[in-house]
Amino acid sequence: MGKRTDGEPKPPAYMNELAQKLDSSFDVAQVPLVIKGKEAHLFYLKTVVDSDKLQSIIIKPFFELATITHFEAYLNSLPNKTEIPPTEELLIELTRGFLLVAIQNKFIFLELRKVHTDTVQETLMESTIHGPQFAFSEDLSTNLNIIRQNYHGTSLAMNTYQLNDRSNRMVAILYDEASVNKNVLRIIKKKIRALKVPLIQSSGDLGVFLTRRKYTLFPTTILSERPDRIIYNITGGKVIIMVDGSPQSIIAPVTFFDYMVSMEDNYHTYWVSLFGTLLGYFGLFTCLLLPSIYVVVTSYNPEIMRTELALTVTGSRIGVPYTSFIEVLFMLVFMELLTEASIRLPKAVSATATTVGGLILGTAATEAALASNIMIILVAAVAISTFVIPINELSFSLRISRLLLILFTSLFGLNGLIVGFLFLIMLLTNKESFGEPYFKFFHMPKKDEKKVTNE
Amino acid sequence: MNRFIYYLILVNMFANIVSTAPKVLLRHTTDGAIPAMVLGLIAGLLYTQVFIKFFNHFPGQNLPELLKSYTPKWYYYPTLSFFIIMWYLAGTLTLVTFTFMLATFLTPEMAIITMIIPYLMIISYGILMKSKNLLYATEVIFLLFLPIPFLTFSKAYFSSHLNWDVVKVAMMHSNTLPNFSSFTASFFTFAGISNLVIFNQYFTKKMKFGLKQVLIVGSISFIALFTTYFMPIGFSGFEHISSLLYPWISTTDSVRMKFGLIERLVFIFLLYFVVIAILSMTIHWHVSARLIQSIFHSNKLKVKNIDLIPFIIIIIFSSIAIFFSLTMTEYNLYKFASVVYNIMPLFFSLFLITMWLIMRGAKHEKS
Amino acid sequence: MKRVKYKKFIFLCIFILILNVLLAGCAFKDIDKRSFVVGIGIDPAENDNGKYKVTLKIALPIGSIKQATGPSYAYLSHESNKISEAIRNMETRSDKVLEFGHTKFIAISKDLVGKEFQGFMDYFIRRGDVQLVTWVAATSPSAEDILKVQPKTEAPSSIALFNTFDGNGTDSPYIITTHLFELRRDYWNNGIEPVLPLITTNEKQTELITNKSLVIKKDENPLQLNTPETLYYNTLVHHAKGYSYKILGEDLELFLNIQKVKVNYKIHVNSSKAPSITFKVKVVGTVLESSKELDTAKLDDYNKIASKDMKKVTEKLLLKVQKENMDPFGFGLRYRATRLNQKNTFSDWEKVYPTIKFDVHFDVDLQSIGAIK
Repeated sequence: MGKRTDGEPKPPAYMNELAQKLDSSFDVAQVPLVIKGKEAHLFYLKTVVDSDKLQSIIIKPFFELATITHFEAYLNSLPNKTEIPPTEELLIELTRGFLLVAIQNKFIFLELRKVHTDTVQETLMESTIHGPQFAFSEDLSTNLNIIRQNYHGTSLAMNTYQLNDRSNRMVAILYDEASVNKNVLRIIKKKIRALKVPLIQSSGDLGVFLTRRKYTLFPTTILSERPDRIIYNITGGKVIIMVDGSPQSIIAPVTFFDYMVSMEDNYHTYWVSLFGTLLGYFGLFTCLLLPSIYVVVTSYNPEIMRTELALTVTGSRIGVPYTSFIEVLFMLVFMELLTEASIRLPKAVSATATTVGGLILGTAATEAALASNIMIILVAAVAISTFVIPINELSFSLRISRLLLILFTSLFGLNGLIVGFLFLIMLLTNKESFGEPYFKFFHMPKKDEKKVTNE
Repeated sequence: MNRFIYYLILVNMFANIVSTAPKVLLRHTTDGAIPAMVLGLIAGLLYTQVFIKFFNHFPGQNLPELLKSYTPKWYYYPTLSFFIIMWYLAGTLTLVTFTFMLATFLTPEMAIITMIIPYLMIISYGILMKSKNLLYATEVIFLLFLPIPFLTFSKAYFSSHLNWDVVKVAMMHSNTLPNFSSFTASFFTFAGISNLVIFNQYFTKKMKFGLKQVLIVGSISFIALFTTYFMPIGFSGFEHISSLLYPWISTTDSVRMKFGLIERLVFIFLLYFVVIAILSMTIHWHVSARLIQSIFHSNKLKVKNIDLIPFIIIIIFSSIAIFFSLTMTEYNLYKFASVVYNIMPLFFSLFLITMWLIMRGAKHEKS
Repeated sequence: MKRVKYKKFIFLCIFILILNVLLAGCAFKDIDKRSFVVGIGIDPAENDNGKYKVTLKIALPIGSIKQATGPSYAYLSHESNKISEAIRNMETRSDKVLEFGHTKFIAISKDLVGKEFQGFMDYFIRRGDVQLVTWVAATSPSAEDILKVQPKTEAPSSIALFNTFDGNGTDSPYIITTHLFELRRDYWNNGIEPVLPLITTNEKQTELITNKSLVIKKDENPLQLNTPETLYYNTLVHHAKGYSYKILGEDLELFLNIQKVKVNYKIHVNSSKAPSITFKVKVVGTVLESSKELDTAKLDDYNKIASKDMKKVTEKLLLKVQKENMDPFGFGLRYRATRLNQKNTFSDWEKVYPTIKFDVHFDVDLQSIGAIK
């Protein structure tokens, strides 16, 4: 805080009041500008305001313009000027990078944010060969800018909310006024307003808090970092929720099949994309069922296999001391550890981890007769097919469902496998995403659908 | 007609044509199975027609609601209890039959109780599900596994080891009087439409059952009945066919897929059989449970806003089913099935009376 | 507080479930603790211990297929009055569970065929785990010897007996395949008799020879069909095709490769004429080998020669089975299949069949004489 001597002009009382409220911050700046009868006072937080902009937009014109009225008119015409909010909000806005200017007891409120997170990143999670290569940034206004630049429809609606938690983050809800499902929109808005949680840091935890149930395995929202997927879903009548500081946005409501769509599918010819989709579903079934099928055919019903295969499997299991499900669990757990390790480790090291784990561990395990050759092939196939699933939120859930299926199968054999699989289907159909059915064939046009299933 | 109604009809039909129906039909190859099947088909279609016509008068309402508003109490309670028992028995019959069958073919070493527990678990979940979501699940599961019967049927029809002369010999035995139990068995394949008593509450649109729909349902059921009767004969012979306890398992085991991923068709078929039987049982028990819930609902049996009645129903249903499966023998089961089949006409006539009473009540109310 | 409680509860549940897995159900048995029985042989007993001698052929797993030189088998034999008894006894002699799910071959000694057949058939069908597509064959000498034959061409992890019959390996028109369900069907059905392939071996017991067959009738001795008869039976009933049709003309010998066979027959009983069966066969094929130089222009002549010779062999075969009152072609079944059932339909046929006349027409259509004259 500036020292006051007698010759200096006095700052307005309001500014002093604000300064007191922000007493604990070291970076409060209260700067008087005085020259030849012109006088203005600036109030801002040094760490969040862009000082270059401050110099060129505010301070330089102050000394160049002839009178103080000129300067005031100049400030009023700036594009980043906003209305002055009530004191509580004003304080929050100041922490975001706003500047309060006082000229002759009049206040002008300007946005001069310095943001270091507005660089657009490359896509990491959902990379494709074709299509846009850049994802969102971690800054909300940049992200909204990206959406607007890609979707010029006038019916695009953007509502912003401030969260009621400690972080006071901005949240934006985007949708197409023309095609949005009104019921879903109502539910989402209600839920965001009613949120009562101490802290929300990213769209990930917001998505979790928005789904009502606590113990749930399958996600009911999609997190996406791809602008094209967001635009695609806005066009499809879905609601997008974006959180400041998070490069991912939430898509709601979703159906199970949305998780199986890769944006790549839209950029190819019909047969190529059909092939891609089928591969995805094949991967889904393989990564879910293959370990359990192994348990069934090796420990309950070897007569299912062809005779030659049965003999080969038996041969490869010679000397393996553990029963099939322990073998499967053992290898799967190591595979999961490997996957986790390569996520946690720095990128440079993760390749080594995969090599060491995948190649050496696998070979050594078969050499030591801790696992059969066929088991290694199987675990590799399962691992690969897990990565085929386009949205990895689903593949995380599938990793757990897979273990559940193994459990069921080890207990009840083929019966257990079938029952477990049907149980998963029933679990999914009994789920709702923001009032919409989650897993259902034939999503018919809305008009007809309502007639079929009025609740 | 709403597509979910097809699923309700077809799930029940498929569950029947692979389990009990062929057993009963093939017992009467020389004394009237074929004419009984024809009659059963016609009667089944008529029944479906009547049922849909009736519920068309009351879109979006289920039977308990209708009974409550249009019939006297002394009629309402006994009728509904009878229906509850029938639905429960239908589900239990399927459960016990196919547990026995799997015990013979799939896992001879496994204890019956270990086999029945997973089924009870999934059926219990089905009881807890919302009726609407159960319809969705039925659709997903039915369609997901639909390729299997197609594969089985086409593999069977195009097998070079199928002897068509034997099939023709069987056809030449159609000059007999229809047999009653064969008639009820083939008629029972149409019973799936009865599940509308609960599910009608989700069908608020008028259902059309015109010529097109009759043809669709009729031709599917014709093919189904034809296949279920003649394929086992074509593979296992005309004479001594009734000594096979599970004709369809024997039939599918007679087909070898030379280049298939799995060599023996019977396992793929067993998979389908388990799936369709679970669906059928779940639907039956679900309807039965919903009917019970329409009679008993009290606020006392609630803990933290969770209704305890479905859980009590699950416990009762499961324990009776476990008791049945542990105490029954193959012979008792057959007797039990025949009793259930033979009550069917009573059940259907009771239905007709109920419909008539409700229609009359509704008319009175209007005028 | 509540949250902690819930978590504890869930942990407890998971723990119990895992415990359950460790105590997994009694049907749980790993594949390496099972022995796969691939073939069953049944012979008359050699000693007085019982009626039958049952031999099991068990395939042993091979650790590394690439290094193995051939398949390895173990054999178990036991004599007893009942097959189930014998198998139960052999189970006590094996360290692993005998698994019959992969049994695809049942060999029955020629001496047992036709006599107490029903007993074994019912046993295998009742078991439930033996496949109904199992191949059944009669053997001479004993079933045990045939099971123990290890052909030199047998590769590791592939079973020669299976390759012979499954139509995936060898594809000869001499090999008749009869599945267990077919055997049962034709055994019980009135109007048709089942045919079993007859497997023999060479003196050194290193080859399996499958080119004869047996026609089986309830409670009667089987009728043996020799090699050419087996070929013609297989061609006419199962539409087998292949390389080995030898035609004898007046001064010409031809070997035909048959590509397509179409058989059509009708039974005439009700007309005023004597009962007869018109048997029409259309054959399409090529010439493979001949004793003389051939000429494309003379294909029609060759057709005639071939038709005449094939007709002769067929007639002989038909008369042979008729004489024994056997019906492997299923004429009786066709008879029953073409008229509405009356009380005495089949007994009528049984009266007619021994005297019925065969009217055979062959239409051979040779399409080429191969690559050279």
